[in-house]
Amino acid sequence: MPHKCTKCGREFEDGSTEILRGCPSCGGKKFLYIGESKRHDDVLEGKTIEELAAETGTEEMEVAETPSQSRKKEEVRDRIDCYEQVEAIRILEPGTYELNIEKLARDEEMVVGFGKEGKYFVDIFSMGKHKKKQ
Amino acid sequence: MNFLIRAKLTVSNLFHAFFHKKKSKIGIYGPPNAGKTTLANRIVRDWTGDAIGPVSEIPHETRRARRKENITISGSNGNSITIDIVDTPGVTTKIDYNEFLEYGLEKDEAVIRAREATEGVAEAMHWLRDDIDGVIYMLDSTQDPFMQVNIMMIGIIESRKLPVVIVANKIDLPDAAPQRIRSAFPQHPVVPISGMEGDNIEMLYEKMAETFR
Repeated sequence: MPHKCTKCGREFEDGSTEILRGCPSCGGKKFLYIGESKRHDDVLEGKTIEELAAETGTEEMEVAETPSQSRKKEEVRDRIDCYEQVEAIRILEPGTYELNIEKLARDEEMVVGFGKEGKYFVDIFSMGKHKKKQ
Repeated sequence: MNFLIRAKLTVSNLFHAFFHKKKSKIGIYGPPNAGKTTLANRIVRDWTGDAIGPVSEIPHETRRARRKENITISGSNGNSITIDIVDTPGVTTKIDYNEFLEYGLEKDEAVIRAREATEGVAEAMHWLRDDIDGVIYMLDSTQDPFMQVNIMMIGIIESRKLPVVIVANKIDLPDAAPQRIRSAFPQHPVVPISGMEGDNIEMLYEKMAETFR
Protein backbone atom coordinates (compact mmCIF):
# COMPACT_ATOMS: atom_id res chain seq x y z
CA MET A 1 0.00 0.00 0.00
CA PRO A 2 1.48 3.39 -0.98
CA HIS A 3 1.35 6.86 0.59
CA LYS A 4 -0.16 9.63 -1.48
CA CYS A 5 0.63 13.31 -1.04
CA THR A 6 -2.68 15.04 -0.35
CA LYS A 7 -1.53 18.21 -2.08
CA CYS A 8 -0.15 17.00 -5.42
CA GLY A 9 -1.04 13.30 -5.46
CA ARG A 10 2.52 12.01 -5.80
CA GLU A 11 2.90 8.45 -4.58
CA PHE A 12 5.50 7.01 -2.27
CA GLU A 13 6.22 3.39 -1.47
CA ASP A 14 5.11 1.93 1.80
CA GLY A 15 7.64 2.78 4.50
CA SER A 16 9.32 5.43 2.38
CA THR A 17 11.49 7.68 4.54
CA GLU A 18 11.46 10.35 1.85
CA ILE A 19 8.13 11.68 3.05
CA LEU A 20 9.46 12.47 6.51
CA ARG A 21 10.86 15.71 5.11
CA GLY A 22 7.66 16.51 3.26
CA CYS A 23 6.78 15.87 -0.38
CA PRO A 24 9.84 16.61 -2.59
CA SER A 25 7.58 17.79 -5.42
CA CYS A 26 5.31 20.27 -3.70
CA GLY A 27 6.54 20.43 -0.08
CA GLY A 28 3.20 19.04 1.16
CA LYS A 29 3.19 17.72 4.70
CA LYS A 30 0.07 15.53 4.64
CA PHE A 31 -0.04 12.01 3.25
CA LEU A 32 -2.80 9.47 2.87
CA TYR A 33 -2.09 5.79 3.31
CA ILE A 34 -4.16 4.31 0.50
CA GLY A 35 -5.20 0.76 -0.46
CA GLU A 36 -4.46 -0.80 -3.87
CA SER A 37 -8.14 -0.85 -4.87
CA LYS A 38 -8.57 2.91 -4.45
CA ARG A 39 -5.08 3.85 -5.46
CA HIS A 40 -5.92 5.38 -8.84
CA ASP A 41 -9.40 6.63 -8.04
CA ASP A 42 -8.24 10.22 -7.80
CA VAL A 43 -7.21 10.14 -11.46
CA LEU A 44 -9.70 7.64 -12.87
CA GLU A 45 -12.76 8.94 -11.08
CA GLY A 46 -11.71 12.51 -10.49
CA LYS A 47 -12.03 12.29 -6.72
CA THR A 48 -10.15 14.56 -4.39
CA ILE A 49 -7.80 13.10 -1.83
CA GLU A 50 -10.20 14.27 0.90
CA GLU A 51 -13.01 12.27 -0.68
CA LEU A 52 -10.75 9.23 -0.85
CA ALA A 53 -9.81 9.70 2.78
CA ALA A 54 -13.47 9.89 3.73
CA GLU A 55 -14.28 6.78 1.66
CA THR A 56 -11.51 4.62 2.97
CA GLY A 57 -11.83 5.93 6.51
CA THR A 58 -8.07 6.34 6.69
CA GLU A 59 -6.73 9.35 8.47
CA GLU A 60 -4.28 11.65 6.76
CA MET A 61 -0.86 11.52 8.27
CA GLU A 62 0.87 14.80 8.87
CA VAL A 63 4.62 15.09 8.98
CA ALA A 64 5.68 17.43 11.75
CA GLU A 65 8.14 20.17 10.92
CA THR A 66 11.00 20.56 13.36
CA PRO A 67 11.71 24.11 14.51
CA SER A 68 15.21 23.99 13.02
CA GLN A 69 13.77 23.04 9.62
CA SER A 70 11.33 25.90 9.59
CA ARG A 71 14.02 28.25 10.83
CA LYS A 72 16.35 27.21 8.04
CA LYS A 73 13.60 27.71 5.52
CA GLU A 74 12.97 31.20 6.84
CA GLU A 75 16.66 31.99 6.65
CA VAL A 76 16.85 30.81 3.05
CA ARG A 77 13.78 32.87 2.18
CA ASP A 78 15.28 35.92 3.84
CA ARG A 79 18.46 35.50 1.85
CA ILE A 80 16.55 35.22 -1.40
CA ASP A 81 14.52 38.31 -0.52
CA CYS A 82 17.70 40.14 0.27
CA TYR A 83 19.28 39.34 -3.10
CA GLU A 84 16.15 40.16 -4.99
CA GLN A 85 16.00 43.58 -3.41
CA VAL A 86 18.51 46.14 -4.55
CA GLU A 87 17.50 48.79 -2.08
CA ALA A 88 18.57 49.12 1.54
CA ILE A 89 15.52 51.17 2.46
CA ARG A 90 12.14 51.26 0.74
CA ILE A 91 9.81 54.16 1.37
CA LEU A 92 6.27 52.85 0.95
CA GLU A 93 4.75 56.20 1.86
CA PRO A 94 5.91 59.10 4.00
CA GLY A 95 6.35 57.58 7.47
CA THR A 96 6.26 53.93 6.37
CA TYR A 97 9.57 52.26 5.67
CA GLU A 98 10.89 48.80 4.94
CA LEU A 99 14.47 48.18 5.96
CA ASN A 100 16.76 45.58 4.51
CA ILE A 101 19.05 45.12 7.48
CA GLU A 102 21.33 42.60 5.76
CA LYS A 103 21.97 45.10 3.02
CA LEU A 104 22.49 47.89 5.54
CA ALA A 105 24.98 45.71 7.38
CA ARG A 106 26.84 44.65 4.26
CA ASP A 107 27.10 47.61 1.93
CA GLU A 108 28.25 51.15 2.20
CA GLU A 109 26.25 52.07 -0.88
CA MET A 110 22.80 53.39 -0.29
CA VAL A 111 19.93 52.65 -2.63
CA VAL A 112 16.50 53.83 -1.58
CA GLY A 113 13.33 52.51 -3.22
CA PHE A 114 10.07 54.42 -3.51
CA GLY A 115 6.58 52.99 -3.57
CA LYS A 116 5.72 49.39 -4.34
CA GLU A 117 8.10 48.92 -7.25
CA GLY A 118 10.22 50.43 -9.92
CA LYS A 119 11.41 53.74 -8.49
CA TYR A 120 14.81 54.07 -6.91
CA PHE A 121 17.09 56.70 -5.53
CA VAL A 122 20.77 55.89 -5.88
CA ASP A 123 23.18 57.76 -3.64
CA ILE A 124 26.14 58.05 -6.02
CA PHE A 125 28.21 59.81 -3.39
CA SER A 126 28.08 56.75 -1.13
CA MET A 127 29.30 54.61 -4.02
CA GLY A 128 32.27 56.83 -4.79
CA LYS A 129 33.74 56.44 -1.31
CA HIS A 130 36.50 53.93 -0.71
CA LYS A 131 35.42 50.80 1.05
CA LYS A 132 37.00 50.13 4.39
CA LYS A 133 39.12 47.04 4.46
CA GLN A 134 37.62 44.33 6.65
CA MET B 1 70.12 32.41 19.89
CA ASN B 2 69.03 33.20 23.42
CA PHE B 3 69.13 36.85 22.58
CA LEU B 4 66.91 36.33 19.58
CA ILE B 5 64.29 34.45 21.59
CA ARG B 6 64.32 37.13 24.27
CA ALA B 7 63.94 39.89 21.67
CA LYS B 8 61.06 38.04 20.11
CA LEU B 9 59.35 37.67 23.49
CA THR B 10 59.76 41.38 24.27
CA VAL B 11 58.26 42.33 20.92
CA SER B 12 55.34 39.98 21.42
CA ASN B 13 54.75 41.36 24.94
CA LEU B 14 54.74 44.90 23.63
CA PHE B 15 52.41 43.88 20.86
CA HIS B 16 50.11 42.19 23.35
CA ALA B 17 50.16 45.14 25.76
CA PHE B 18 49.43 47.55 22.94
CA PHE B 19 46.42 45.66 21.68
CA HIS B 20 45.17 44.74 25.10
CA LYS B 21 44.91 48.39 26.02
CA LYS B 22 42.64 49.01 23.07
CA LYS B 23 39.23 49.83 24.41
CA SER B 24 36.30 47.82 23.11
CA LYS B 25 33.12 49.41 21.89
CA ILE B 26 30.22 47.27 22.99
CA GLY B 27 26.95 47.83 21.16
CA ILE B 28 23.61 47.01 22.73
CA TYR B 29 21.46 45.76 19.86
CA GLY B 30 18.02 44.20 19.67
CA PRO B 31 14.46 44.79 18.49
CA PRO B 32 12.54 47.91 19.63
CA ASN B 33 11.25 47.91 23.22
CA ALA B 34 13.53 45.10 24.38
CA GLY B 35 14.93 47.35 27.13
CA LYS B 36 18.23 48.38 25.59
CA THR B 37 18.27 51.91 26.98
CA THR B 38 17.09 50.71 30.41
CA LEU B 39 20.04 48.33 30.50
CA ALA B 40 22.47 50.93 29.13
CA ASN B 41 21.31 53.37 31.83
CA ARG B 42 21.76 50.72 34.51
CA ILE B 43 25.26 49.78 33.36
CA VAL B 44 26.32 53.43 33.12
CA ARG B 45 24.72 54.28 36.49
CA ASP B 46 26.20 51.25 38.26
CA TRP B 47 29.75 51.98 37.11
CA THR B 48 29.88 55.76 36.63
CA GLY B 49 26.81 57.16 38.41
CA ASP B 50 25.59 58.75 35.17
CA ALA B 51 22.81 58.01 32.63
CA ILE B 52 22.73 57.57 28.86
CA GLY B 53 19.23 58.47 27.64
CA PRO B 54 15.47 58.60 28.26
CA VAL B 55 13.27 55.48 28.09
CA SER B 56 9.63 55.18 27.05
CA GLU B 57 7.05 52.55 26.27
CA ILE B 58 6.56 53.96 22.76
CA PRO B 59 8.82 52.00 20.39
CA HIS B 60 11.82 53.80 18.85
CA GLU B 61 12.38 56.20 21.73
CA THR B 62 16.10 55.90 20.96
CA ARG B 63 16.60 57.13 17.42
CA ARG B 64 20.27 58.02 17.51
CA ALA B 65 23.05 55.75 18.73
CA ARG B 66 24.29 57.10 22.06
CA ARG B 67 27.71 56.38 23.43
CA LYS B 68 29.16 56.48 26.92
CA GLU B 69 32.91 56.12 27.11
CA ASN B 70 35.33 54.57 29.55
CA ILE B 71 33.19 52.32 31.67
CA THR B 72 35.21 49.87 33.72
CA ILE B 73 33.38 46.73 34.67
CA SER B 74 34.87 44.23 37.10
CA GLY B 75 33.93 40.61 37.56
CA SER B 76 34.28 38.85 40.91
CA ASN B 77 37.40 36.92 39.84
CA GLY B 78 39.34 40.14 39.27
CA ASN B 79 38.61 40.29 35.55
CA SER B 80 38.15 43.88 34.61
CA ILE B 81 37.38 45.48 31.25
CA THR B 82 37.12 49.08 30.12
CA ILE B 83 34.55 49.61 27.41
CA ASP B 84 32.49 52.19 25.61
CA ILE B 85 28.79 51.38 25.73
CA VAL B 86 26.81 52.19 22.59
CA ASP B 87 23.05 52.21 23.01
CA THR B 88 21.49 51.74 19.57
CA PRO B 89 18.00 52.28 18.11
CA GLY B 90 15.87 49.13 17.93
CA VAL B 91 16.54 47.19 14.75
CA THR B 92 13.48 46.18 12.78
CA THR B 93 12.56 45.48 9.16
CA LYS B 94 9.47 47.67 9.04
CA ILE B 95 8.72 51.06 10.56
CA ASP B 96 5.20 52.40 10.15
CA TYR B 97 4.07 55.71 11.63
CA ASN B 98 0.57 54.25 12.16
CA GLU B 99 2.02 52.19 14.99
CA PHE B 100 2.85 55.38 16.90
CA LEU B 101 -0.63 56.83 16.48
CA GLU B 102 -1.88 54.13 18.87
CA TYR B 103 0.26 55.72 21.57
CA GLY B 104 -1.51 59.05 21.13
CA LEU B 105 1.05 60.77 18.92
CA GLU B 106 -0.18 63.25 16.30
CA LYS B 107 0.29 62.20 12.67
CA ASP B 108 3.03 64.75 11.90
CA GLU B 109 4.91 63.78 15.00
CA ALA B 110 4.52 60.06 14.20
CA VAL B 111 5.80 60.51 10.63
CA ILE B 112 8.87 62.39 11.90
CA ARG B 113 9.44 59.71 14.53
CA ALA B 114 9.28 57.00 11.82
CA ARG B 115 11.75 58.84 9.62
CA GLU B 116 14.17 59.40 12.48
CA ALA B 117 13.82 55.76 13.56
CA THR B 118 14.65 54.62 10.00
CA GLU B 119 17.76 56.80 9.98
CA GLY B 120 18.58 55.41 13.40
CA VAL B 121 18.46 51.79 12.19
CA ALA B 122 20.68 52.66 9.22
CA GLU B 123 23.09 54.34 11.64
CA ALA B 124 23.05 51.37 14.03
CA MET B 125 23.86 49.00 11.16
CA HIS B 126 26.63 51.34 10.05
CA TRP B 127 28.15 51.19 13.54
CA LEU B 128 27.94 47.41 13.46
CA ARG B 129 29.81 47.39 10.16
CA ASP B 130 32.77 49.49 11.21
CA ASP B 131 33.00 50.39 14.84
CA ILE B 132 31.62 47.76 17.16
CA ASP B 133 33.92 45.21 18.85
CA GLY B 134 31.33 43.21 20.77
CA VAL B 135 27.56 42.95 21.04
CA ILE B 136 25.03 42.63 23.82
CA TYR B 137 21.99 41.31 21.96
CA MET B 138 18.93 42.16 23.94
CA LEU B 139 15.64 40.28 23.75
CA ASP B 140 12.34 40.61 25.53
CA SER B 141 11.81 37.16 27.06
CA THR B 142 8.03 37.53 26.87
CA GLN B 143 8.29 37.65 23.05
CA ASP B 144 9.01 34.97 20.45
CA PRO B 145 12.79 34.87 19.92
CA PHE B 146 12.42 33.29 16.45
CA MET B 147 11.48 36.59 14.82
CA GLN B 148 13.16 37.03 11.44
CA VAL B 149 15.02 40.12 12.53
CA ASN B 150 16.69 38.30 15.44
CA ILE B 151 17.81 35.38 13.29
CA MET B 152 19.19 37.83 10.72
CA MET B 153 20.94 40.01 13.28
CA ILE B 154 22.56 37.09 15.08
CA GLY B 155 23.65 35.79 11.64
CA ILE B 156 25.20 39.18 10.78
CA ILE B 157 26.96 39.39 14.16
CA GLU B 158 28.29 35.84 13.73
CA SER B 159 29.50 36.53 10.20
CA ARG B 160 31.51 39.46 11.58
CA LYS B 161 32.93 37.15 14.26
CA LEU B 162 32.00 39.58 17.03
CA PRO B 163 31.77 38.26 20.58
CA VAL B 164 28.16 38.32 21.73
CA VAL B 165 26.24 37.98 24.98
CA ILE B 166 22.50 37.46 24.59
CA VAL B 167 20.39 39.06 27.29
CA ALA B 168 16.93 37.64 28.00
CA ASN B 169 15.34 40.73 29.55
CA LYS B 170 12.11 41.36 31.48
CA ILE B 171 12.27 38.16 33.55
CA ASP B 172 10.27 40.01 36.23
CA LEU B 173 7.17 39.76 34.01
CA PRO B 174 4.86 36.76 34.59
CA ASP B 175 4.93 35.41 31.03
CA ALA B 176 8.70 35.62 30.62
CA ALA B 177 10.27 32.49 29.11
CA PRO B 178 14.05 33.02 28.99
CA GLN B 179 14.48 29.29 28.36
CA ARG B 180 12.95 29.80 24.91
CA ILE B 181 15.73 32.24 24.08
CA ARG B 182 18.34 29.82 25.36
CA SER B 183 17.06 27.07 23.09
CA ALA B 184 16.80 29.47 20.14
CA PHE B 185 20.46 30.48 20.37
CA PRO B 186 22.29 27.59 22.05
CA GLN B 187 25.61 28.66 20.47
CA HIS B 188 25.85 31.84 22.56
CA PRO B 189 25.83 32.66 26.29
CA VAL B 190 22.36 33.76 27.40
CA VAL B 191 21.90 35.75 30.63
CA PRO B 192 18.34 36.18 31.93
CA ILE B 193 17.92 39.55 33.67
CA SER B 194 15.47 42.25 34.61
CA GLY B 195 17.01 45.55 33.54
CA MET B 196 14.22 47.39 35.31
CA GLU B 197 14.48 45.57 38.66
CA GLY B 198 18.19 44.79 38.41
CA ASP B 199 17.69 41.03 38.88
CA ASN B 200 20.71 38.95 37.92
CA ILE B 201 22.60 42.00 36.72
CA GLU B 202 25.78 40.86 38.50
CA MET B 203 25.77 37.71 36.44
CA LEU B 204 25.62 39.82 33.30
CA TYR B 205 28.65 41.85 34.41
CA GLU B 206 30.55 38.60 35.04
CA LYS B 207 29.66 37.35 31.58
CA MET B 208 30.60 40.67 29.98
CA ALA B 209 33.97 40.74 31.74
CA GLU B 210 34.57 37.20 30.52
CA THR B 211 33.34 37.60 26.92
CA PHE B 212 34.58 41.08 26.00
CA ARG B 213 38.11 40.74 27.41
